[in-house]
Amino acid sequence: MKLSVQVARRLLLAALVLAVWWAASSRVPSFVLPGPYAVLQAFSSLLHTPTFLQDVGATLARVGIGFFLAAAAGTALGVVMGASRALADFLEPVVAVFNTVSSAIWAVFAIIWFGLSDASTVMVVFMTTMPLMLTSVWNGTKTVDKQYVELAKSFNLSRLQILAKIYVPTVLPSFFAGARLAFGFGWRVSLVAETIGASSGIGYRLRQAADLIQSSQVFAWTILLIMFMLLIEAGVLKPLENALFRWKPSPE
Amino acid sequence: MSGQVLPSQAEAGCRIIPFADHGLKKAPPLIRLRGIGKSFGPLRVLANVDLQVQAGEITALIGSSGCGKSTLLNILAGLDTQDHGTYTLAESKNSEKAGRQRVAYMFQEDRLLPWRTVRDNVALGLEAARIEKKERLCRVYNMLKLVGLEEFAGAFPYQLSGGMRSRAALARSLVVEPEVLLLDEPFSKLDSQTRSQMHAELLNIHAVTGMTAVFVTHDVEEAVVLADKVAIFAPRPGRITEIVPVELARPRSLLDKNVTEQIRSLRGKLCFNPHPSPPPDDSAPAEGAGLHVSPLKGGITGKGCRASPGVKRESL
Ligand SMILES: Nc1ncnc2c1ncn2[C@@H]1O[C@H](COP(=O)(O)OP(=O)(O)OP(=O)(O)O)[C@@H](O)[C@H]1O
Ligand SMILES: [Mg+2]
Repeated sequence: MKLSVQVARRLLLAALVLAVWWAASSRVPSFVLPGPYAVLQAFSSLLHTPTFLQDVGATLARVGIGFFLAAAAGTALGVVMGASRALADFLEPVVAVFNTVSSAIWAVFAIIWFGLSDASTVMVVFMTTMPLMLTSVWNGTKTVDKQYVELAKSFNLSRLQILAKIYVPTVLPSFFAGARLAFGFGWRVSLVAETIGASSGIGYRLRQAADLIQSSQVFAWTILLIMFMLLIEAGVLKPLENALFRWKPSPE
Repeated sequence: MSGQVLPSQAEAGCRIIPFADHGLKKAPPLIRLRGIGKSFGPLRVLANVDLQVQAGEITALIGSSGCGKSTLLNILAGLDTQDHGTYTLAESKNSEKAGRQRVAYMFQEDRLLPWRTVRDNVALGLEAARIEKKERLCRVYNMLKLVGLEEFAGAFPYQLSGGMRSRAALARSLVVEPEVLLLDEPFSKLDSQTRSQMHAELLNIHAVTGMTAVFVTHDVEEAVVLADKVAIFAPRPGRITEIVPVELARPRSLLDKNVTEQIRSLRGKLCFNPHPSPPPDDSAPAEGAGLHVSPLKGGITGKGCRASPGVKRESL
């Protein structure tokens, strides 16, 4: 009953969006706003393009590597800054600066340093997501409850055990929230980076489509990206979150 | 209840290792506090606290809020250090046993780790002692049965009521079979019915293991029912003003005239009774209705948990 109402609502929304889209597109030239059917055609021809999988794979690999490096470095730095007050005070301005530099600026630097290569995009993803990871983990370390540490000490847990059994579970939710944010962010900036710093990948194809004024192509890619993100959210992140944080009371 | 021991259990492979021989009193005290003083900044919390606890003895600390009882337990647990005086915990042969801890501490707050199930919370101390998983689980389940939580083994702390949480915390302290158990207002969150069941269980465990216990309470009845002696605290700065022995046979019933007499006299010593015990809510249904705490037949947690059964009882 409840589920069917929800489904009906979603379908209604989709129908509404399609109708508005269709109505608007029939009033303007198709390079400004292609209609739903044109986009559908572009979408299917996109899936049959020989380089399609290569492009998607290239982008995924760049995002993945950049994000993985950022998560590792950000977590390590976040933990270190959480452990040492002095170091945290010392490094805090650097983090603040990194957080304010636009990803477009990193992209420009990346081209200057690495030219048209995978490394450019990886670097942009790294530079924009690493501060996010660092900040999340660092904030997480601040929430470690001294009472739990005391409890662990009363049971003679070693320092390593305290780290694994008290610190890690406390920081994990912040780590996860940070990773989720950072991955979404990295994914978006990677396209920006690829439009100027790559000769393959989704961002590169978008740029090509823009140069040739193939609006329907751009729309097709956009839909693909949205679908991909929804799939990751529903297929990976949500289940993972549910499994990891069963111990949290549900908000309702 | 007190004398239900032991040959049959030893055959069953339990490891109940009584190390306090109640017949042989006046050995040197297990715990000896001399002139303990403690300040937090300008605030003098403890001044000149003297206390001796024999092995196997149950001691109650009673006194008004903020007079330093928890601070004293922290020192006993080794989590804090005194500014003045000496604290000695006598050596004993039994302290080196695997999975047995010298001092276990049940804090005033339950401090259940929210990300662990009840089962895993109780197992924390055994993990630290690197007890192998099978024995760990076995001991944990025996303990959960004892406190009436076996059906909640897989539940997370947020799913428990306050009373269940404190029972889980008690199980966690007991499962390591401590030589000395420190309890900070352990039963204050239980309804009166469950509370007296827990009293009986604690006394059972005490009778079987000969464990030494020091507990804080605001409840004069609880102090008299459980303790061998009651240390009365006075505040600002916290110090022990009197140590009242309770020399009554166990089990002690509140219907027994001697017991009520002792309670009345202790109330008188606390004179202004700064902390009346929480009003009993007999009208409310018992915590975890249908809770049945089985009498201690198989010792505490050891029953059948050991890979090699028939571990010998140790003699002092
Ligand atoms: N870590 C600390 N830093 C500063 N002051 C503290 C600290 N711990 C305790 N105190 C102070 O010491 C005094 C005694 O505290 P303690 O917790 O030992 O009291 P208590 O007798 O256990 O009280 P209650 O019966 O309310 O639990 C209080 O005034 C408290 O504010
Ligand atoms: Mg206290």
